[in-house]
Amino acid sequence: MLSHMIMNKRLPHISWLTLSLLASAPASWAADGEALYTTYCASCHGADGNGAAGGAFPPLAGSEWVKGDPARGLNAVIKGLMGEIVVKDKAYNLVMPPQGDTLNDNQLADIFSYVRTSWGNKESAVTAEQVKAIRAGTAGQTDMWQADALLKKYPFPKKTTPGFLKNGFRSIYADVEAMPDFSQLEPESQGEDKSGFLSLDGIPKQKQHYAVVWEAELIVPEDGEYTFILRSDDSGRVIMNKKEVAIISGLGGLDRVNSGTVTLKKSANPIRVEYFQAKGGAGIILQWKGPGLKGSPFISKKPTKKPKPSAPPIILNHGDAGTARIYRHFIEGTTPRAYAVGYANDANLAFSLDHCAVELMWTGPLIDAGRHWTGRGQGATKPPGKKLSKINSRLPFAQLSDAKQSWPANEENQLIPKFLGMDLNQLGEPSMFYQVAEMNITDVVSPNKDGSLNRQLSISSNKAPAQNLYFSAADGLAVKKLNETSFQLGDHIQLDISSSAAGSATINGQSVVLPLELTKGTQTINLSYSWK
Amino acid sequence: MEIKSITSQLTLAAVISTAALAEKGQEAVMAPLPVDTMMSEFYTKELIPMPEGEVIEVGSIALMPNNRLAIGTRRGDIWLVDGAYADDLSKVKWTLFFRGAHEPFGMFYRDGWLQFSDRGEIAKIRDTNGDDKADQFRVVNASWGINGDYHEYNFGSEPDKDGNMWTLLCLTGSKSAPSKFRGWAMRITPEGEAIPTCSGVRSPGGIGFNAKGDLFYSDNQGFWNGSSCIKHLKPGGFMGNPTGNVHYELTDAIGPRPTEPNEDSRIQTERARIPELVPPAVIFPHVIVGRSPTGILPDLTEGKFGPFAEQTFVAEQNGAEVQRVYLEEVNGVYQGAVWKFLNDFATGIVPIRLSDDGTLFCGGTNRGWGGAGKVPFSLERVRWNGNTPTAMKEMKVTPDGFDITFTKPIDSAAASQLENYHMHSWTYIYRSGYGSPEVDPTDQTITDVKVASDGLSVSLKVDNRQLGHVHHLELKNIKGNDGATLWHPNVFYTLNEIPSK
Repeated sequence: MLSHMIMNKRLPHISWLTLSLLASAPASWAADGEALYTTYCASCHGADGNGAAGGAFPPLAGSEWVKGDPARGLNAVIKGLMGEIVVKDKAYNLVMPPQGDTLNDNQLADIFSYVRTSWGNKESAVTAEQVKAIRAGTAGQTDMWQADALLKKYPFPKKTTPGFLKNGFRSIYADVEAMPDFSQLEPESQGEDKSGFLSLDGIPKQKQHYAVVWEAELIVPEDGEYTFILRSDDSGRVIMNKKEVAIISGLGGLDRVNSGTVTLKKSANPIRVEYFQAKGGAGIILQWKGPGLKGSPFISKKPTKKPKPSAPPIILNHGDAGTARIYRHFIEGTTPRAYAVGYANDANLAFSLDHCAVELMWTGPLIDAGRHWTGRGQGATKPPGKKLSKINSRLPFAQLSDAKQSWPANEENQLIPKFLGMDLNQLGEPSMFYQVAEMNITDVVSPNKDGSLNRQLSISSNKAPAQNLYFSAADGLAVKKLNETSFQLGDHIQLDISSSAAGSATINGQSVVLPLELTKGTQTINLSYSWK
Repeated sequence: MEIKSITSQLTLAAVISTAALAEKGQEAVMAPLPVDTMMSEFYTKELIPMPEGEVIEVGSIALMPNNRLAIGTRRGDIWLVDGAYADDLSKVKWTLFFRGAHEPFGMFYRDGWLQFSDRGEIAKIRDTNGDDKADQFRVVNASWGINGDYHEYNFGSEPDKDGNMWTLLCLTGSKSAPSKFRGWAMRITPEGEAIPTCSGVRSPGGIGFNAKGDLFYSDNQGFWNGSSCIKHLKPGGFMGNPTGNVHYELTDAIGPRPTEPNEDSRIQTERARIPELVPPAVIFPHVIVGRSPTGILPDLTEGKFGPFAEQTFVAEQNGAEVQRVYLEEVNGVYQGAVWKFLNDFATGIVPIRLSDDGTLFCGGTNRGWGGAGKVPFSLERVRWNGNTPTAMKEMKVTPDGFDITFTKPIDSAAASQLENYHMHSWTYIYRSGYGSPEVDPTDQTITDVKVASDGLSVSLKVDNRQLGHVHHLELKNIKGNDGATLWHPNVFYTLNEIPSK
């Protein structure tokens, strides 16, 4: 029966009964808050606060975004929020639409109070005055918050768990090729380490071939047996009370585990940890368990968890049984209107419908569709395969006074192609059709067993086409002439050109330019792309 | 318990207070309507099975000859569906027809081609060798800009009476227009010419006709749009969001750029300043009647889909519903009423299509935008089971009130009691901000009711109606003359104009 009612919270001439009832209304925020949450929030955040659609939307139950100062959340809800966020170790890339112009201070306070005290959340309630103050603070802001800017202004409370180490001392040794005999070495640098943890903080990530020794006192809570669990990239060694308890030798990653058990007295016990890094990934993780410890806490700095990506990969390949597959979406490195085509021989290309040109080529998988097929699908996706080569980015036809003249910028080029469509053969391979001035062009790509692609442009014209026409066969990569008809494009592609319609291709800066000698009728340009 | 008692007393207080409450700027807060549980008495809803392992997030539905459907997906696939009309849905057959569309929202069949709205172009495809795989793809038109922003959606209509299809170009990021013609509606002729036709579009969810063949679209609550609504795409009209008006410089097809709307105003106020401004035909009060309206279509089944022939249905993504709309033209401006209609779909609904035999096909997806329902994507069909609900059918404005018609005779004793009608109204702030609270709350007084002798209509005299307001009418205690409960006793009428006679 709430349905036909206007609840007006500021009416001066409504009856005394209403006024007195409204005065007591704030005490009932829990009920109002739940109803408002269900109406306005639950379709995305879930009635149970766990995120709707099986967690496809961010949870509020146990969310770090709900913790502490409500200003963070209020700003996001009042002004809206965009950009990738991480909630409970999972990334999300959606949009929180701004609610500040729809919901009033009381409603927002009720919703926030409900969220902050529900599903295990144990935060303070929020008053309409707090909402009002936040609203006033954002009055001039017309754009939604970007997630990183909001977190910079309202960071999550820092967790400060004290470490188990005291009186630490860290020595760094340079130019070592394997775990060294430290007694024979002079450290490159050394000093007190008061962090309470083992860590590689302060050592440049790109540093190679070095070793580290930590010497400290480990605060043991009770008498008893303790197990030390070591992971190291590359080598590592743990010595308690001058006795080795765990060791990882040789080169390798953090997936290698070694552990050892030792009896310790309740007191400060001397610990020594040795570490060697060759190159590539670096890290050392040391945990321990035993009496007086909860679980297996970290003696090393707790590794930061990599959040689950907002868009897990969805790798697409060419079709089954020798067929090609087309992927249409925003592809990084070409224009917004583009097809990616994956051929049965594992060669792929991106054809720009705006430029009517093959702009990218790569081998291996066709595309990672995860970005576009998860959430709202923001942004352009980068082709995932190997040998990714950007072979063109400009309008492929131009009128030049001679082959040495520089190619016109796209916005100055008068020869704007118009994409007309495509035909698909039995294998799903497209033939593209487009028009450039009076030329009608059919652009056919066919895959070869050796992984190469043949491309034929058939150019038809009912009248003699314009003079001084040039075709840009490749542009943007380092180009090397191999012989009269062969060119190397960057590191990965060899381009072979033959044509009934063209003179000799020449190199003009970083491009291969073909002079066209067109007459009435149909002529062809054949381009073959093979992989190096 | 405590809140309930407060509520019922408050209701009483609101009822006793019949004085006009309008005072500009005040906020009203109306709670959502109770969830309907009667639909299954009149309509049968069935899930159409999909091929296992396939993700078919439905963005487009086209009706084809021989009881075939074409389904366009947000992943860019176009499927053919056979058997979707059959009694036994377990034999439904899906055939992948084309792969490589760009999130098409809107598709129709004409002359052997399926024409659909890619982000970057209107395209058409067909199969020429009879193997049920598309082998020809042709661009029909591509005369607008896209820059890679995911919000640059493109919603396309079926052909209008002149054979033109219409396409709606969502704003970039739903709030800017850096790409050509974002925020515009264009007509595309069968020959592929584009005619810029309306400006002022924000973020559409669908586009479709009323029974007369005029075109409407749903625009979602957001910047310059206080609450979701459907708007009449009147050629030359400005639909209310001025962001895309920068593109008037690209065309003289619909005259000069309209005057900018003032901030913190009301649509009704700005209409007087901006002659091109087309007010929302029917406002769907935010969260009371959904909040993400999508596909639109007229009921042209001549009664095969129940007693609402010639009315307009509007799908709803967030609430997984279909609403029912009665439209009328007053002084050359569209306005009308919305009722809740069908609910409890498996997924939030985006496209809908109604076949001549009275089968309503509803396509669902909740990816990226939360929607009610239990599954992430679905295709459902709804048919009328032959039982006529006792319901309001139409709500028409009169010079001094409203006339309500009913699908079946109502109990005239209850219907002639003034206290069984409650009406109040409100409007929304018209401004650049994202949505608006309900403001300027006003109570109306029903001063007279006349029940027709056949029990199929009532005439209400109403004091204090407000131009530019949504008028919420609730019918209480009114039943059919056979005792049947009135289905959906709440209606929301958007009053843009009052007829003089």
